[in-house]
Amino acid sequence: MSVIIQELIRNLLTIDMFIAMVIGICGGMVIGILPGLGPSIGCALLIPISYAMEPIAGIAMLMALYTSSIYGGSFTSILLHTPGTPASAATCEDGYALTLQGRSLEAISWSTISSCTGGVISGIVLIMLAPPLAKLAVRFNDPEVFWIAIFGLTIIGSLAGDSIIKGLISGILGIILGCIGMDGAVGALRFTFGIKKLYSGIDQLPVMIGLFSISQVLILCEDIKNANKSLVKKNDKQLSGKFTFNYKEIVNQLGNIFRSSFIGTLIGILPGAGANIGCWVSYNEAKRVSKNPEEFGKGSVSAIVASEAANNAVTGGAFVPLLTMGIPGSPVAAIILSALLLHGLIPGNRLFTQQASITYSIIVAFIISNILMGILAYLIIPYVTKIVFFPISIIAPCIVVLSLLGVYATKLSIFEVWLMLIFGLIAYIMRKVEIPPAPLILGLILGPMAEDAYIRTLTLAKGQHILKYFISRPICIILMVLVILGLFFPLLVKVFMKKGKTKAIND
Amino acid sequence: MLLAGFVYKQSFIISVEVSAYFPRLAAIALFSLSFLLTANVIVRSIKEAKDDKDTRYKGMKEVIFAISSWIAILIYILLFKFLGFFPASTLFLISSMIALGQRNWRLIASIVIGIQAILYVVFVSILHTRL
Repeated sequence: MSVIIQELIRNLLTIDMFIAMVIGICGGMVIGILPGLGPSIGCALLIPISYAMEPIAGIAMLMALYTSSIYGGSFTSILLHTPGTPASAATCEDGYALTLQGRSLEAISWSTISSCTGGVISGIVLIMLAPPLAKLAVRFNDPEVFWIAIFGLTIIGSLAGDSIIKGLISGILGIILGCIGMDGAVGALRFTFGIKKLYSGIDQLPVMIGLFSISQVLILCEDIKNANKSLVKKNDKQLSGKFTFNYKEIVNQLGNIFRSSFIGTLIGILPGAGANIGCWVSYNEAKRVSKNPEEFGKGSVSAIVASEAANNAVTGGAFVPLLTMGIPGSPVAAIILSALLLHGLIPGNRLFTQQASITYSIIVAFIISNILMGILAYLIIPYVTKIVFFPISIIAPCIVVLSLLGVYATKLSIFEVWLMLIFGLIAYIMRKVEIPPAPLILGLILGPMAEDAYIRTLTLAKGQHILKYFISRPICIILMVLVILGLFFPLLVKVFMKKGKTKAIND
Repeated sequence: MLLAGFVYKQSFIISVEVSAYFPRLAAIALFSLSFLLTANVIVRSIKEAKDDKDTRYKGMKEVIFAISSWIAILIYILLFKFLGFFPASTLFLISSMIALGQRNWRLIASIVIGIQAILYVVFVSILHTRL
């Protein structure tokens, strides 16, 4: 053990390592801020550079880029209602609401501290529990994935705001959109109407950018007379660029941070789940246990803390199946796997035994880069938050240009850009009739996942009744209970709140 | 409800029966929820009419401005298709900033040049994206 610690200190305290982490963090933040670009693109670009470096520095740089790009997405999410990455979509509503209240500095500061803590906690879990957690990951098969997807869909209830019916309609629209294209299990074409571009289905990126960014631009352009004014009035607190945390608030949010970090880490371990789901599950749990659930969606710090801690914790969790079994749970993990193989690091038991010093150096470097990310972020936050003082006449066109380029750059296809525009209009109409757009994204991600997993489960059940088959799997039973709780909990909360209000009026 | 009916009808065209179950289920759920919502709205409108409340939508001017902005973005995408990203973005940024009331020419010029420069460096030089 002491030998490993000595090797760790020797490997990590080098200038190369520091430079590698800084490059990864800065690159990741830029990629996260620009809508449309994701950590996959950044990692793919840096692989040749990482190959020229020492293995530890090279892999640490890629992991630093992954975690900081997830964090960087929160900047535009909070300041401009434009999620930089799909993982930041959950932060959008509450973050932007806080911006409009003149509290963008506070929102980003909380996002920073949650992201850093989430990443650090997942790194610690990775060090201590990687092999046993890997065994858990192996037990997750299609039946469990189906119930995870259904559990994710029950979150729609909590995202629905005041009208659960409208939220469910939005979610089901997302599920129907997810049915477009080639069916995942059998390969049958559905709802393509002869359009070849639809054969591979509707990508979530143009839908997300359209739903959040373009619709927001349309809402900003409604009030043309005041378009030369800024989003928020200048206030001394924002202009100073300094935010001081209230000690009591930090203590209040500690439970939320730890819970969300563990949720994110667990979801990151599951191949295929990813940060896109982790942030929503964590958001839902934070709302469920909050004393003020009605604040969620209207500028709740707890919402931002929950989603940001979870989406960064997912990055550490994703390395558990990757390092222990060589199973990449996401496109980014697949790219990092190729980097590991290029450096001669073969995932498996050997990484944690014979090459333990290298592996633990990489994981500790991941933890350090999360802390370094927070330090670097605090240097740039005072400048970045001043974007909100620009007039809408500058911000709105810039959002459109960035969104268009981000969507176009991923597939070099104008079809995706048209989709973005169409969904922008659809989301604008939805927001006008008070149908929340967020459940639509959730339906689009989770609908196909649930359907494919269900059809494959039918094959695995081999003629057995499907319910009997689910009940024969212990993890499925736990997930089914969570689904039932998730379905009925928002209704129970509404009933209790109504009773409470009636009692207050009578008193 | 119309969309739900359309999706349900289209599900019978799907070649493999098992692939049609999920969209059919979703269509039925959508129809039921839309029916509930419509009924809810009708009941509420009748209540508000009885209370002599003015239920007409008052924000038509704002919607027209928003739709005009949407059409401007549509034109921008068409220009992008024929002229390329940088010429189309320059035209779009300048015209939309002016349309939204910005008159500070130095600010407009510096934003247009600045943004284009950053995007050129990131997307063209580093990512080799063909624009």
